[in-house]
Amino acid sequence: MLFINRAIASLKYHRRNSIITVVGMVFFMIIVLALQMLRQIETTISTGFMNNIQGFPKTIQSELQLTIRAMQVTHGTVLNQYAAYIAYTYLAIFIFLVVINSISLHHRQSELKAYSATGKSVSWISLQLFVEYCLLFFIAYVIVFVLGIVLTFVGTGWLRQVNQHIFLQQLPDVLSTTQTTAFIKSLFHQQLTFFNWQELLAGNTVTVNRIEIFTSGIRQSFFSFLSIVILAIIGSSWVGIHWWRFRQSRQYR
Amino acid sequence: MRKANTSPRWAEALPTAGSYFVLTPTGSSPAHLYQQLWHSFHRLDDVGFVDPSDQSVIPFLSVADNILIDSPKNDIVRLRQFLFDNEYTELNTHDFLDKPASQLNETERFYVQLFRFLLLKRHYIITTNFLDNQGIATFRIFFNLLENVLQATDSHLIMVTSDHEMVDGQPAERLLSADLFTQQ
Repeated sequence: MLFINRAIASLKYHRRNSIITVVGMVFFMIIVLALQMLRQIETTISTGFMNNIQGFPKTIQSELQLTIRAMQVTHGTVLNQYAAYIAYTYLAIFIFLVVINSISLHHRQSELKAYSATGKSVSWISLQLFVEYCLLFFIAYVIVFVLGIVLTFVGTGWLRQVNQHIFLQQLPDVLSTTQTTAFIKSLFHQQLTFFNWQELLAGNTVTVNRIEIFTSGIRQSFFSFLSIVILAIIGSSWVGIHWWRFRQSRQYR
Repeated sequence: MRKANTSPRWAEALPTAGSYFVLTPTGSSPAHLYQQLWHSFHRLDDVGFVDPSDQSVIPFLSVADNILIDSPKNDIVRLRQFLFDNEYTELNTHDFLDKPASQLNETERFYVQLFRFLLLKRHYIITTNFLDNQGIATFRIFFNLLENVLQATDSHLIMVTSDHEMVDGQPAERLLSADLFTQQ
């Protein structure tokens, strides 16, 4: 029987563990996907802001230098915040997989004994377990792909609002969208634009390409998650099986 | 766990392939003796331990897939033929190898582990005193069935026992002292 056949039979038999793992993976992957989409939206808005500013004459850009700098810093802070949240979510899924695999190993000692009795190495058993989790990852990824499409077409507006909320929280009070200085008032009075100051600060001047933010997010998360599954499952299996064998060899002392 | 390649020192006391018996010393239990042997020799490459109370099966695979994981198909074909040729009712003959391992009873688990080590060509297979509780008639049928297989695979089956009825009538060279194993 091949690795893959054994893995499918195992997933069917250990149904509860499989369902918990897929639900957990989907939960964390959708969070990462949403955060990556938020980062894409924020990057687009940040770039759009600079493009809009460059539409003004050089003299006005010099006058707005401090404002531009403050805006860039705020955009940078928000982007860093998203990157940090993504890293925390990756860490959370790593821990989740290690814990779920360790609990599963504890319940599958008869299998470990059978594999050991037939002379299978720790690496071989770890690889067998990895194939099982890899299949679960593919199932979770398909679910996330479908949910991601829904999020792209239904939830992008909501994601923009969330991003705007986070951005405004980071924005210095002096640049609050509700306040405008006399200079800004005169600036928009003199120059014809398709946006006003509030819209410029809020990033409403930019059109977000929904398909692009979804495809780039889902592409990035595939490789990142696959790497985490490889590290978490092979690592925890290898250490767990060695520990189990050590405990076995000492149990009759 | 890296297995040691050397044969155990007591191997010299077992010149020919076949079944051997280790009588449990007075004041000790068969389970304790088996555990002692397990602890001393489980790392050896050439020794297999059969304990049906120990699950040691993959529940979602069939018996055939459990006996040798990733085994060459012809090994299982030969085993199937062997069971077919030797109508041994205990194993329900034909369907035994196709049975899901999750449905095995203790006796069937005993045979799965035993066949596994025979097909792996382990020279020394040590069993618990499981056969003590099976009744002498079952033991005799099993023993006769197995003797030819042990000769063919050049294996030594070492059975821990406290049942004197089981060893009655066995040749003296087939009876081993527990001291042979415990004084290493």
